[in-house]
Amino acid sequence: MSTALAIDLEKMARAANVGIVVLCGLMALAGHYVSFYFHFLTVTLIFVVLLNYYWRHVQTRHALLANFGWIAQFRYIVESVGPELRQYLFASDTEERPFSRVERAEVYRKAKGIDASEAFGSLLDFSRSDIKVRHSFYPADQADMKPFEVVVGAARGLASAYTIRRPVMISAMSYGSLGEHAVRALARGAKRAGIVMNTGEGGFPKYHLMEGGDFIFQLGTAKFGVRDEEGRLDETKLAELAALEPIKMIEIKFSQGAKPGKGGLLPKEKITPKIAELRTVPMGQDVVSPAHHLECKDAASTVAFIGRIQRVSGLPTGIKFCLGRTDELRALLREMKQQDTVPDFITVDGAEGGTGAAPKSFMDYVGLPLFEALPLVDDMLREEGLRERLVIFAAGKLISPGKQMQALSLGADVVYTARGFMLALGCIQALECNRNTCPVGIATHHPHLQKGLDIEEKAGRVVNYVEALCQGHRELLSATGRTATRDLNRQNVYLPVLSGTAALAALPNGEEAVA
Amino acid sequence: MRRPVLTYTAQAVAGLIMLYAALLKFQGAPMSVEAFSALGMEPTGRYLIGCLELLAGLMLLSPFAALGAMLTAGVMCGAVIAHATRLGISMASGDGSVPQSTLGPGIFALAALGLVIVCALYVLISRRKELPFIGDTL
Repeated sequence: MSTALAIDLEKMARAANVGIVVLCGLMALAGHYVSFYFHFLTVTLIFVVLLNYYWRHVQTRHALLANFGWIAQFRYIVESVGPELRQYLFASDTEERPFSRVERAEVYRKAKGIDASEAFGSLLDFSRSDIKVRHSFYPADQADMKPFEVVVGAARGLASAYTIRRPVMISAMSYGSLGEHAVRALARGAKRAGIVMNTGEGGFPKYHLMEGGDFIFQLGTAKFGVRDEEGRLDETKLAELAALEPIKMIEIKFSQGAKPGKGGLLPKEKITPKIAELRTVPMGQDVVSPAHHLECKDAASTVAFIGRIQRVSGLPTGIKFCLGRTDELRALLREMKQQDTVPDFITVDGAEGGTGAAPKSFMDYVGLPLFEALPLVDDMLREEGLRERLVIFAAGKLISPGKQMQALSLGADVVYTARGFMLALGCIQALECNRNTCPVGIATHHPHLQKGLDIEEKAGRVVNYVEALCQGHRELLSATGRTATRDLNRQNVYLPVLSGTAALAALPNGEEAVA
Repeated sequence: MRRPVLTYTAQAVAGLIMLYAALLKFQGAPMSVEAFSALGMEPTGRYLIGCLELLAGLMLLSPFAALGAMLTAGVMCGAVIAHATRLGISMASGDGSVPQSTLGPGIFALAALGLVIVCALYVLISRRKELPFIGDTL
């Protein structure tokens, strides 16, 4: 290399390897002739020399250590703090995933009740084709706004039909993926803000119920909390659970965005007595979450299963899935008509994934993204004449009023967000939800990490976030010229035809009224 | 993972000897005072080494045995250097006045030194994976 001051790492490593031996010798001499105290350093360096010899000439697992010796450890050290350094210093405000600093800052400010307006233009890249909300020449007056109201279970004439009064709900996060403090802060905040919270598939929602409020109980494929020994539905347990006053709805989870089409495994090491009790699973053996409900093998058995849950629980009962094959959905909807059993709601989950741990290939490459799946489901329900008999919930990175408004325009009746509420609780996007090491005490069970999460303080943030979201909804709704959320339709969004996907291009682009 | 009984035995032997050695240092046993005077470290060095021996002994008898074994090996390495360069074998008798040929506390102390080194190295090797930071690479 010709540059005068270039660093040749290989030479440096060689010098470093010789250097510690020389230094060790020098210290030994100093220990002998100057002061015996130098031998503290001699001994330390002897260890380092021996360790370095082992790394370079004995071990075979780490090529870098074998080739360069101890100095190669700096690479591992620096790399291990890379994610933090990138997030703190080097990532630009809009490039981080899953949520950029701009997106997170909006939620933080909403949760803290600080003004979230910005100046000097959007930070987003407008040459990219994003979905936009279309505003009207004639914004509606705030005074004309009709209150938000969606009734779930009305089509079946249920006495237990539930009226949702705010457009946002807390999406499924189980006790298990979240710690006790986070669950209680969310539940307390949800109760105060008057919104519905999904319990997730973590079994009996003990910590949710501590705070009261209105809940959707999620029934996962392992049926935690309401399973028999083989993992099939225990009707008695379900009936008991459904009889609890705070449980307002049941959501049967068929698949989730993080890992559509894949089950899970709860390793026996993670089954504490507390988890075993709440999830009604035995201690000392692995528990499999199957990829599908054992009762559901085809469209007919699936619809029958939905009917059974509706009958046993007596509550509004819906299904949650991440859309995969549309032909299967069509067959399922036809079977529903055939058996005259229609779920009271359908939750369409985007394919992005949230707190759930999932193999990377499932997280990244399986399932339809929300904004493509949502219009497809909406259209298909209309074509089959089922749209009036159920409501659609949508979930998948809907953390800001703008995104939520887009989902509401593309067919959703109510929106769910999980990670938005985690951010409101103080999530710093450390991406460690699956390691029980969450530094802000949300996705962890360590008492010392949960200590920093003050339930009362964070419940207030949840309330602020909900209020700010609803405020945003009202403003956006007014800008679209509508007076009620249910009046939104695809005329209110701009769908870029430039997007490479055929599904988006095939959608009506504002000219044709859909509703 | 079950540890062989041998590891625990070695930990106990090395740990107890280290604690006893620390006790001698703190008590100011004539043998210690003399040795550290010869090294020019009396009394600061004596207390410093005593503290390290106490720490090492406690760690060997605790879940941090791997680190304790490493510390023990380090202190003992220093002791070997001291005897090899300054004190000679005779000092190990604890009393310079006793002739080298006499079998007495000197042989006993030397045997203890050797035993601690062997035990500490055995513990260090069998528990090397538990060492912080570098354990994964060993």
